Amino acid sequence: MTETVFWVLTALADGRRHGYAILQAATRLSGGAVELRVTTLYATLERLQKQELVAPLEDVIVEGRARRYFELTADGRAALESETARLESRASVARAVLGATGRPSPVVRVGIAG
Amino acid sequence: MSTDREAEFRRLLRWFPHTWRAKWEDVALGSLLDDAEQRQLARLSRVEAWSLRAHGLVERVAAAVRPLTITALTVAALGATTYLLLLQVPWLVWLGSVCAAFVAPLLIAAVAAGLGYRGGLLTVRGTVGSLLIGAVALAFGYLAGRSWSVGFDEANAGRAQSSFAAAFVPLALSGVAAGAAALLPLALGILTSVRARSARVPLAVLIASTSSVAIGAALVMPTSAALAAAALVVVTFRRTAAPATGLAERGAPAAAPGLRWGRRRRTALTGITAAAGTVSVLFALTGSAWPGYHGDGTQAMNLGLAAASLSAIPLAVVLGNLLHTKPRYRSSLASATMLGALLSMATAQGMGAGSTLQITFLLCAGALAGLTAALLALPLFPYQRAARIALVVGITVATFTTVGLPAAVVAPFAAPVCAIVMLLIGARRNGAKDLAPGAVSA
Repeated sequence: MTETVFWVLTALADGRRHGYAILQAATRLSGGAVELRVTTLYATLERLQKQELVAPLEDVIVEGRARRYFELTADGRAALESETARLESRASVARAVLGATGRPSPVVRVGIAG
Repeated sequence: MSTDREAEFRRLLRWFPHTWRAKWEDVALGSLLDDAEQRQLARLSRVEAWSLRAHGLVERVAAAVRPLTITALTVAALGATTYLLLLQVPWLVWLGSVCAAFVAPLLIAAVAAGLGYRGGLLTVRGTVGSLLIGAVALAFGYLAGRSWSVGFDEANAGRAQSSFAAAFVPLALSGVAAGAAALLPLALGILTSVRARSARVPLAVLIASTSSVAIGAALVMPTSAALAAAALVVVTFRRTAAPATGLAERGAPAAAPGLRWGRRRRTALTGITAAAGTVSVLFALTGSAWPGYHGDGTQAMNLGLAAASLSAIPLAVVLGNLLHTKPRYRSSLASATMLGALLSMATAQGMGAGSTLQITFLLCAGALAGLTAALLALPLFPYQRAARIALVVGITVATFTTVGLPAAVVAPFAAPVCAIVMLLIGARRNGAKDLAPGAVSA
């Protein structure tokens, strides 16, 4: 799972959002580490839609602008949960090894893999 | 102001294909306007505008990657090349060689990049960069080929070597370096899960460099482009048609997981191909200069290729085992014919140049390579028995007469590279499994 996919799925984990809201949520949740471009976001959403991890809901016009809402599918939620569990298991192994060395633990950056 | 911005965004979105715009234009426009408003942008910077255009072009390439389009392009490019080369008119032959060595490979690279982008392996920037640098690499490759050819003619005619002929090595090296740079984004995309940058980048450079050398060597064969194009047609067909028709799994016989070998055995066999194959290929290319060897370059090439063909057998056995456990590939026929092709190639090369039987074994290897391709492609077609037999015969003959022999010749060179890539991928997966608590190795 790429970093972009991870943050898009995470942004949708607490409910439906429209495109630009996903973009803002991804930036906020990643602490500014991920700043998606609009075109990258829609390319990612299209791919996730094909993989049936994300489903489009209705299109809404707000102040003359089209907004399409998306939500996680059951498969999307399962994929995110599985990735999260995998990251947690890696982190716990790393923590255990770092703890066993008896040195002060530095901050561990956990990445995303797929 | 907002209307100007909207008009600008709409103009930029016209770079995207019609199908994309029908689906996404309005919502993407809304998000672009929201984003511009949030960042208080009066208009997009030149860099951002070109980024949008590049994205549109990449979407166009990805949208064109359809089985029929690719098949038509391949047939047109290869047909035109063959026709131009057969005409024997000097400038048309030159045009044909440009088509064969530059245009057709560039089209194939564009299709591969489109597939990589669609599959999420390449970003927009990576796709554009790969294609631009790939075009430079192919140009260097073409010039290197011409330089070699001119040098050969000059040597035959007893003339002094021209500066163009003398530039072969720098041109070839530049082609390989540019090719590696073009393949790097794809290699990095494949290795996404290797998070440590210190491991991911050197691994990606290694894969890109070896692949660049392998592709450069394969391009020497005039029909390599056809082989690559045929492979891409099959990949495109599977990516596009299989999910829609449910061909991949529906109605498929059950897999035979119990027959799948353990990780250690697979790694050991693949390692044999990687090590022995690399040494054999090195001997084939440089054996005449090895201390203690008294044969000439041709003999070294024959011996090296014979050894490399035999070295590829463990990898073919592993692939056969992996295929056998796939639901649609229960039959071991494809792996048997693959082994037959490698043995025939080893025999042909072992006999050496000048042996009357060499060509017979080479043709046999080509025919068996064609039959392997037909058996591997067969599960794509859910037809009745008679139609499937006709398809096997048709694909075998078509492959044999076009790319079968080059495929069998390239196989000894390609096998060690494939083996190394498989070992790296296997090591990465196993590393991930081993980290998980309670992981049990296969």
